[in-house]
Amino acid sequence: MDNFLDDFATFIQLMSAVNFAYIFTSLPKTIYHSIFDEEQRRNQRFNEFRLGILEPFRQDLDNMHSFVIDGHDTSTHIDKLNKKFVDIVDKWENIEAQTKNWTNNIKKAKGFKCLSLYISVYCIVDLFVIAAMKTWANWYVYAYLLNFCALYYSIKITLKILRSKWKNKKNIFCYNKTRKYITRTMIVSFALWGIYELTPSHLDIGVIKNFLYPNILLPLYPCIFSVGYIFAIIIFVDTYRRFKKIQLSYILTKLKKEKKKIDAAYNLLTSQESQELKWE
Amino acid sequence: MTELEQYEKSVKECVEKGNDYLFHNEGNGHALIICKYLFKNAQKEVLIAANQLYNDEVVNTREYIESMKSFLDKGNTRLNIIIASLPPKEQVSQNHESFYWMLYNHPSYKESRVQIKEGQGKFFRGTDGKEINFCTGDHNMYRFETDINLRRAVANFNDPKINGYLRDSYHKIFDTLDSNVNLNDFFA
Repeated sequence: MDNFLDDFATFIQLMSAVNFAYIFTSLPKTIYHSIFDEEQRRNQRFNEFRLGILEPFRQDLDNMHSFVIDGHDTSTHIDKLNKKFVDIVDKWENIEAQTKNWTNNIKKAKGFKCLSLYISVYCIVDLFVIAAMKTWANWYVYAYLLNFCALYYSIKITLKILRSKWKNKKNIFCYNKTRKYITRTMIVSFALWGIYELTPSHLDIGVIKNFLYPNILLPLYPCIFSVGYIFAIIIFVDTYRRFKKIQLSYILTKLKKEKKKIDAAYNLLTSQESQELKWE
Repeated sequence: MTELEQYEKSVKECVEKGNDYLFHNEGNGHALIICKYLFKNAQKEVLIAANQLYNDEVVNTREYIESMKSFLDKGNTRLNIIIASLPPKEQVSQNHESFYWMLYNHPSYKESRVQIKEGQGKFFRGTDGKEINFCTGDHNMYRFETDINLRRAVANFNDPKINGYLRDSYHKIFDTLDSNVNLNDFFA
């Protein structure tokens, strides 16, 4: 009966381990996708500058007609204003194109799914190993070595993604590479474990135990790092756009002041200061 | 978003924020948007000086009529109109979707909150002798049309100074005119 309960508990542990691995690996993927799902909302704030601030001003300038008042022609001022405004619009369009390009490069980075696949397989194997520790305490050593091997290969995959090494490769090529890395992880960790077992003076298991628990999460760091990296790029892009928006808004405020001077001339047309509206 | 929708958005924003900003506008679409927000935003008084105030492009549109109706519905509101000449009687009397028809049927007309006067050939003119149309809303809004054919105008939703000039000019003439336009003559 005790054996059955032990087996049952182990089975439940394993199932929990599989679920845990699934949740843990799908979480970064969800974060990754949600970053780009947010793109539209993020862009909306910057579109507002073009549509809500630049566009009405452009319409205003388009509808501004020159006239002569007190012997002065306003056309030169309007032309100057138009020229400066076109310069602002051009600058903003360049910024938009540049930042879009940066984001697209990150979006197109190939291999993130491969990294997720690698981490998933690692998590499942690692948790099986943890469950197996119940039967043989020496599995601790294997788990420990597996963690370090997985850390090495996950960093390798992350660097390939972030340095766009897989950008022009086919999906199948990336998956085949990942499968190779998974196999190598198993072989290398088993080989290292074998060497350890053959070594006459073993390390104290108690010492390894202390290092094991935090190390379980080690191979997840590249995954977290890559999501962090994407976040950093996006924050950089948004900050750059925000800074440029403030810079151009400042120039636009100056233009609005210049427009006010022309508006003042228009106001003279409508006011009794220069003329009284005739009734005839 | 079309250009006009964008224009309307910026006008709406300007009205809501109460900005002192001079809009340069031209054409029926712009005129309609400016008038619509001027009427909607006015709480007490709207003064209109127009040629006949009868056209299908702006005045007889549903948007123009509805926004004026919403102004008159507020109660205690007053609408004064000066027209250069009477619109064609036959056309107006048969058109039951016109601006005048709405005024005729609105309670404010019977309450004498709406007054229409005719310039009998005379009208507001600029120094160049060209006819000028304008309208004001309360003590801060105005639309001043310098070219009535192109509907080229400037408008501001928060300029009490220019609004004051226009209102003074308007009242000076309105009070002296005795040619009241009775809408019963068109529709009764």
